Amino acid sequence: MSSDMAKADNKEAFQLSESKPTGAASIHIGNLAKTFDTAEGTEEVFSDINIDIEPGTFVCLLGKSGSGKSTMLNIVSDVLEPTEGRVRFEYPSDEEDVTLGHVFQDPRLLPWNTCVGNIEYVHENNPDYTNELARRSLDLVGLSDHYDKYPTQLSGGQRQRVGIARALSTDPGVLLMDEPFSNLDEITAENLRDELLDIWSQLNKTVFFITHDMTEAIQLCDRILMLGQGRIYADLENPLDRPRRLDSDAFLKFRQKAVDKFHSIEE
Amino acid sequence: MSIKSSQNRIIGTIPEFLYTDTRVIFIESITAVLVVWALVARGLDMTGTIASPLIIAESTYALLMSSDWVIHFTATIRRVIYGFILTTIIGTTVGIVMGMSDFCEYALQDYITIGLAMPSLFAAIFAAMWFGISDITPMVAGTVIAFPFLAQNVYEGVHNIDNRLLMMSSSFDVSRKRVIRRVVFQGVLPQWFAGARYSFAICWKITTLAELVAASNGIGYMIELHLNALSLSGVLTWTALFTITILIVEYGILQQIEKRVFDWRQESGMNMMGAA
Repeated sequence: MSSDMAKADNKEAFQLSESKPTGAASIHIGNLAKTFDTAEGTEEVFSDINIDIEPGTFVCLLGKSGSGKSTMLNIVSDVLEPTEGRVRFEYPSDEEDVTLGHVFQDPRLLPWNTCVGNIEYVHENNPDYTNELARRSLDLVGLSDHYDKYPTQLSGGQRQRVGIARALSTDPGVLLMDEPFSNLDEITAENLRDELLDIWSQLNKTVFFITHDMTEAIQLCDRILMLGQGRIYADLENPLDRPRRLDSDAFLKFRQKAVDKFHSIEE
Repeated sequence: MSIKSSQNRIIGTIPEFLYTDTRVIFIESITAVLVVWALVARGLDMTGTIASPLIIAESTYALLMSSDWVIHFTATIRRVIYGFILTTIIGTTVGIVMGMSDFCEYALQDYITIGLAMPSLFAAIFAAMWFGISDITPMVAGTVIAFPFLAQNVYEGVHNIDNRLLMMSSSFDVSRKRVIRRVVFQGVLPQWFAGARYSFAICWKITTLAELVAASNGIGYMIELHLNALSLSGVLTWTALFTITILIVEYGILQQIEKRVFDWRQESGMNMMGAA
């Protein structure tokens, strides 16, 4: 695990907001379909997608380029309208609206704002927001010495950490992550995966993680959904205990099984 | 030994601040021009045709000590400021509507292209024909020539706004008002500032030119008066006053504003010119 990662001995230390943390929400995707109108006619991206995700679960959606992963994430995050079906989020115990936290492939930070300013930007509707919340969020991802730095003064990995801190600062019921480590070098990506797992184990948020990297999916997730040819063709529970060693026999064996399953759609 | 390594050896013997400190380089540059000017004037006995720095310095000092310059100087400043305000309003508006509407882009782009290529003298002469000897002539001439530069910069700024930032804002439910203030306005600001700075310089030049053609006071008018009297030192004295004012505005006002507004660029080692 990276040494600059902020450590905490208990969940209380990771509580970002002064108000009660909202915890994790469940995701219910029902009969989801998406088509696009093209010059050649109507093109179906996927149809009849049904997924239920329990609160606090780390789920990966795995698929090849063009399989519709990002389209599905855009629908889940309400950026795109589905052609059919709906997506619902629920907290187990109350009726409160579920906040979504977004982490993008590129961090999408405002270059003219500092790290704290970038977090402050997304808290327009939060009356309880103070810069202390932003600083605590940055502490969480190991950026305690970078509060007032601008994105251009940070490395790629640090910028992505700011993106994660920004998402976590909203105390989301669901964290939506769109290939967040795919633009980073492998060593940085590896460190960030460890840090993400560390944060997840403390905050216990529901994570919906898009990737095309099988090893990353197995390392991170409880459950792997495979998207291809317009449908979810595999739904694998990850049997491996955490922490997961990438070179362990169990890891390699499960990886092989998952890879075989992944390619089964082509046969 | 290569030329480059010889250069490096020579540079190695010179104190570093002499070729790295921008303020020192500025002083060196001004001094070099003045020395060359003085040498040519004295050495070639051309003080009658190009005067000399000393003569100009003396007459500029004498002018500044008298109160004559104030009325002409304030008249020019007033016209430049009016022209610049008009330029800013028209240039910013046209740039934004062109950037946000395809119809306006197609409808206005050719006029902007013509405006960018229009000779300054045409604008000065036409403005003089329409408005005669008045404050409006230099103001309108300056605006007509300067606003297309600002409009073009703002238009490009609006076009270059990072769409991913808008999508991010939408994902986090940021209001439209906040997006315009924190993303659109901030995103366009570097291009706007670069365009406004250039437009301001153009307003200065065209105002002085228009004063030459149609004004009864102002720096341009005084230059023309001395030109008619074949008083080279008079022309250069007023030109020196004009130049000193531009330098004060550039270094004393514009660069200070730039440092404050774009501190994020300074911090990260980027500079304003990249935005232009």
